[in-house]
Order: sequence, then C-alpha cells, then structure tokens
Amino acid sequence: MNSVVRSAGVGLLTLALCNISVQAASLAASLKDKGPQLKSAGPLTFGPEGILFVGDTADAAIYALATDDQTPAPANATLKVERINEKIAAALGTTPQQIMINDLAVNPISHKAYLAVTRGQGPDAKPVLVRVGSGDKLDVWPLDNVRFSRAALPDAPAATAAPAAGNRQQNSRKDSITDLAYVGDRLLVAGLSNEEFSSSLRSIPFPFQTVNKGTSAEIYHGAHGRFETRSPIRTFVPFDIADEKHLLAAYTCTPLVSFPISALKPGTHLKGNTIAELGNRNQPLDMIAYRKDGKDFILLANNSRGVMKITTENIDKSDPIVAPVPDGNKKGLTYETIAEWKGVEQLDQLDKDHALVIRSKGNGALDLEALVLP
Amino acid sequence: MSWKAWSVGSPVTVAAALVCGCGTIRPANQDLSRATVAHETSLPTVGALVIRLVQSAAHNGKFVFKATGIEPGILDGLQKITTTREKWSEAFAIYVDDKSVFQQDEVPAVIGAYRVSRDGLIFEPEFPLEPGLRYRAVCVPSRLSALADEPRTVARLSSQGTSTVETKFHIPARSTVPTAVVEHVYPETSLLPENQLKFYIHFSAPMSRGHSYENVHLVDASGREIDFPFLQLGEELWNPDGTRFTLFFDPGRVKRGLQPREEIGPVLEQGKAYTLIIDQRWRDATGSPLRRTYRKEFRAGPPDYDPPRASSWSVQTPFAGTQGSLIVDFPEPLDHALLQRLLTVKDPHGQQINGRLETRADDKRWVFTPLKPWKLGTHQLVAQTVLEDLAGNSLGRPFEVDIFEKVDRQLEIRTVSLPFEVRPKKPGKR
Repeated sequence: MNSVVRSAGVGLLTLALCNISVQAASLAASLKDKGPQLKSAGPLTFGPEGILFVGDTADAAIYALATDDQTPAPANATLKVERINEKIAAALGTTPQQIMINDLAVNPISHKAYLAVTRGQGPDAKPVLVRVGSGDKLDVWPLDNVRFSRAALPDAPAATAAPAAGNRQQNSRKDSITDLAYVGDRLLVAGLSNEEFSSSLRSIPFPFQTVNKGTSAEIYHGAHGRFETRSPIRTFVPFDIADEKHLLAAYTCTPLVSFPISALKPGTHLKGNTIAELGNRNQPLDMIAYRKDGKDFILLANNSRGVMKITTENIDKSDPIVAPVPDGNKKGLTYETIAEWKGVEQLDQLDKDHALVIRSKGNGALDLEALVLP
Repeated sequence: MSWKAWSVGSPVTVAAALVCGCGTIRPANQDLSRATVAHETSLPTVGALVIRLVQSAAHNGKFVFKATGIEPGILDGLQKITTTREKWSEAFAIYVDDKSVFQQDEVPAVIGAYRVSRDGLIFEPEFPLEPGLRYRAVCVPSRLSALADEPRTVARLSSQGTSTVETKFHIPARSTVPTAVVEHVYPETSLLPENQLKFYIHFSAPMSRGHSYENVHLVDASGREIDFPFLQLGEELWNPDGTRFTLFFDPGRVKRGLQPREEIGPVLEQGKAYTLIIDQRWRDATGSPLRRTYRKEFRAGPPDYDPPRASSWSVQTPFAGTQGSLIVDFPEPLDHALLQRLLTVKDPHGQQINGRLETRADDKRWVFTPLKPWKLGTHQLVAQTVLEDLAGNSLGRPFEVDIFEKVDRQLEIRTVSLPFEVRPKKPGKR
C-alpha cells in the first residue's frame, strides 16, 4: 500500500519515480519460481513493473508476485463496490463473518485494486488475493501459474541459532508483519512479535538474493522528557524530507515519528523524531502520502479517531517533540480530522487526486470506494 | 472412478419449475432430502438433467456439484472445449443462497474448477462448503449446448420456453457444543506491577480470530469496565496453532511521558483490584463458544522500572550421574513465554543439553531435568538478554530507556552465562 515516494522538495517526485523505473528494468524477470504457496496474506504493497509484495505472517516470509498487470489504464474515480465483503464471501462460498480484508493496494500502472483476504477464522484459514478492475467486477486471482520469489524472515530474530534447551514445546513465537513499503531498490518490512515487545524494521534488497539478507534495526521513538522507548511500528509511509528519504512511522503507542532511511543499518538501534502526537484511545491503521495544491500531506486512518489529514509544510523545520504534550493537537505537525471519511479501515492512493478506501458502513458491511483526496 | 451421490441437509423445497436436459418437466416442488445426514442415492436416469452434491474419490473425498443427464452429444462437445471459468459459470454455477446472511440480491457465483466426466459436468468449489449455509445450483442446458457448439439442441431447448434447472442444498450446521476452555492466563500471580505489559491466554483448542478483542474485558473492583486498556491489532497475536493469544496493554498508557498516559492515566493503578474477563462467547476454530467465562482477579502493585539481573538468581545444582533437576529461582516472576525458550543449559564441553522444562511458583522458578545423567564439571546456564520481566524490562535493559544513556549500541543476540558446578554424589545421598 505504501509504494509511492512523496517529495517535500520541489519537483523531485517525477525524478524519483523515473529513477525507480530505470533501476527496475529487469526486476520482474527475477521472479522465476511458479505457483506461490501463500499461507496467509497480510500487508500488500506494489513495487515497479506491477510486482506485488505480500507479507505472509504465517509463513514468516515476503512474497514478490508478478501480476503481469502492466497495461496502463486510467483510474476509475467513481469506483464503488458496495458490500464488497459480502461479494467476496459469496465468491468464496462462505459467509461475510468468515472473511477478513487485511489490506488493499492499488497497482499504480493499471490502477486495479488488489485485496488481501483471509477465508476462515481458525488456524487453517486460507489466504486469497482479490482483484477489482476499473468496473466493479471482482476477480479472485488464481496463483497457480504466477511467477514469484520469496524472502524468508528469521522467525525468531532475537533468539540464538541453537534450539531451545531440549525437549521443549513447539516454538510459539511469531513475528506479525504490520506493514511493507518499497523504496528505491529495497523493501522495508515492519514487524511485531507475539512475545517480546520490540520493534523490528527490516530492509530487504530486491530482487531477493538469498533469504535472511534483510537487516533489522531496533527503533526508539523520540524522547518525552527523560525517557524514550522501543515500540512496534503499526504503519509507515516513505516520504522525502529536505531531499532525503525518510520513513514516517505511526507507532502502536500513537506518536508519529520520522527517521532517515539511510540510518537503517544492519543491527543498529535507530532513534526517530516524534513529529506529532495522535491522541489517546486510538490505534493507527493505515497511511498514505499525497500532494495537493503544491503541498504535501499525510492521510492517516485510525481505529477510533477517524482519518487525519496531517500537514507536512514545516516537517523539515519543525523541532521534534521532546517533552510531554498536554495538548498534543497544538504541538508538532498539525492535523485535522476529515469528518466525511468515517469508518475507513484500509487506504491506498488511487491516483494523484483520489484515494481508494475500504470503509465500514455499519451492520458488518464494507464498501470499496474511491474518494477525492481532501 | 467412484461416485457417491449425496443429498444433504434439512428438506429444501425448490419452488422453481425444474427442467431436465431432455426437456422433461419434473414436479415443481422437489423435496431434495428428508435426511439431515448423508445418504446414497442412485444415479439419475440418462436424459434427466439433475444436479447433485456428490463426494468424489477423485477429489480426495471433497464434495462437488455434478450435473448428470446431459445429452451425450453435448457432453462430447463439452469435453473438447477449453473455456474460461466465467463462461462455464454462465451455463452451470453455484451461488450461496441465504438472505439472512447476504443483504444484497445479486451475489457472484462461487469460484471453483469445472471438469467434464463421461456421465456429467462437475463443479469443484475452490473451498470446502460452509456448514450451515444454503447453496443454489443453477444449470442452463441451452448454454451448455451453446458452449458445446450443439446448435440443434440449443434450438430445441429454446423452443420449450424455459431453460433453467435449479436445485438448492443445505449443508448441515456443525455441532456447536462448547468444548474449549481457557486453560491458563499468564502471569498466574495475582499481584502484577502497575506497568504490567501483557497477558498470554492459553486455550484448550485452536480458536477463531478476527473478533478477539471483543471478548476480553478489564473491570475494576466496582465492576466498571476500563475503557481501551489493550493494544488492538488487526493482525491479532496468536501462536501458530491458534491456542495462545497474546494481549498487550496499550503501551501508550504504560510508558511514562506519552500523550495517552498523560491525558487519561495508566490502565492499572497501584493498590487497586481488577478482574480480567474472557468472555464465554469467544468462538473456537469450529465456531463453538467457550464452555465458560474465565476470570482472573489480581491487584496492581508498585511499578517495576528495573531490569532483572541474572546475578540475583539462585541456582540449586544436581549431582553428577543423576537426572536430578536444575532449579533456578528468580526474585520476581519472569515472562512465561520467554522462559520457555530463552534459557538453555550447556555441559562442560559447551554442548547444549536436552531436557524437560517446567516453570513453577508463578514463573519465579525454572526447573530443568536432563534427558541423560549430568556430567561432572562446570556447566553454564545461558540466558538471552531479551528475557523480560512482567513489565517488559529485559536483562540489562529497562523497558524505558533514560535518554541520558546512549542508544547507538549494536543490536546483537547477547547472552548472560551463569556457571554452576555439578559435583559427584556423596555416598548415601539420592
């Protein structure tokens, strides 16, 4: 979902994208295996040449899939599929209660939407990828003949290579992949463990060379008074600040933090700057960056505080928050809540003027809908 | 190839007129089955188009929909064609058919694969049929003929004015007798630090996911529910077999200095009593609720900002030549899950020893029993430094880092070793 690098500088976006496409000339050809056996489908993001990256938590791996969906087509700015969860459930022969839509990504070439879906709720649940074209027609993507490559994530990065002492129970540790972004020539993968509380952010060069080549960094977010903390990243988006590529990361404990991607080095502690506080009783869900009227904005969907439009005008000048903020709305980057965008659970950029969202309409119904960027 | 014809479910009445491939009109109301369990029926007579649900030996015992009674000429034609799933579904398609579940009139056809056998057209759903759900199978003989390029049949069928065969099936619901229970919630101690970081909830059977947070509640001593105490993640943190759920407290309210805690305070407050309630309505992987609601009562104690120190652990050593247990006592409970994999024992040659592990005394005691007798000499108890206490402080590093410390240390897998001596058994000792 987070594949577009936005520039806060002037006119750099086009240059950045051209650069990527030149580098990417032979990327799709690197996907040589056929018929990926996904065990789950979580976060999605597009790379160049219509390559779709899928975070597979159950398999502790990232899959790069050749969609071969490279025919340019305009986006359908009026796209709306009402009750898309019911339609997907029907196509998969089950009830909407047995369906989870985990992520949404728009192919920036064809403007087709790809949805990561889980069918079933138990440990034997099956992953499904669903495509939505410019009409409202759904298509379950058969993966049997799809070319792919796979990068395995180390399942227990904090554990020693040796197995635990002896006759132990099954290793219950698992990293959940919380977000993906393709930046330049690499994939960034944020993860969260179901045991130790730590943040892992891996940078995996693409094409995938060998497994476990990714590097990880342990991230602290900015200091508040005297203390700072490790914390897992929930969602992030690449963003250029003063001509340098940064990640803007929303943490599970709600600060919005920036740090330069160049600082992502193997096995390091990385410290980010807190640039906004997003409020209590709230979890960030998904994030995109876009440009409107010559200015750059971040759009952040939250579980209880709606969709926030965050201005980035002074992002390169603003001082990081270094002290507790009694009234977070007044410190750091400013944001407004977009009242009309209620119930947004998934979010991606459709084209330069529109976003594609999955939003809850009550009664369990979810709509896929194109919305004009605010 | 063997076929077992199968009609399932409660009696279902098909209101639409049923038209056979040969044009014979069957009764408008057909009772598909009076049985709620599978039973064999005879294959239909040639010439009568009938749709059945059959268990196929060729599909690993999966249930497939089979249309039989298709004219041999059409079947021959269908065997020769290659077409898309979409084209097939215009002639023969299965739909979920439950207005109580689906609020829209038109739903897409169920996806699956088509195959032509010597006596019929088979649709194999991509996924197993859902217990409790109704399905509607629709076959349009004239479209089958068109697909098979049989113009004469198409003309004949069209002249009869009606052209759809429709059969409904009801898949029996699963038994929802509750069997699963919450077996343990860790930490088991009833006194937790105010900055307690997480619970592990262990179930007796694999559970469903997707609605987990709706089923966990935290209430105070007066029974008032605490708002938003936990971190809610769409991914939900399960172990691979779906029997252990990790529930983090909202870290924004655990850590000092963050806005959520500044504004609405910590979740737990020292000296107060709480109950964690795990609702009986939580469904297991088969859709059945739990047998009973689970309650864990505890009090909040002082916050813990100090990392555990291996030097404060006491070790009771076994004797050489025995398979006695190595017992390690900690001054505070450590994280139950991490204790299962982050402590290891090495023999005098540095080789890891295999053995059986238990945690006791509310995770303040770690007991290791080797599979083979202990050797004589200096052994090592090796702890990885990511081992945490209940508040997320790990060996040598507090959960919250003082910013006056540098944080640019290399991230490595580091261990702490505690040597212990395994001595010969004294005469007369067991």
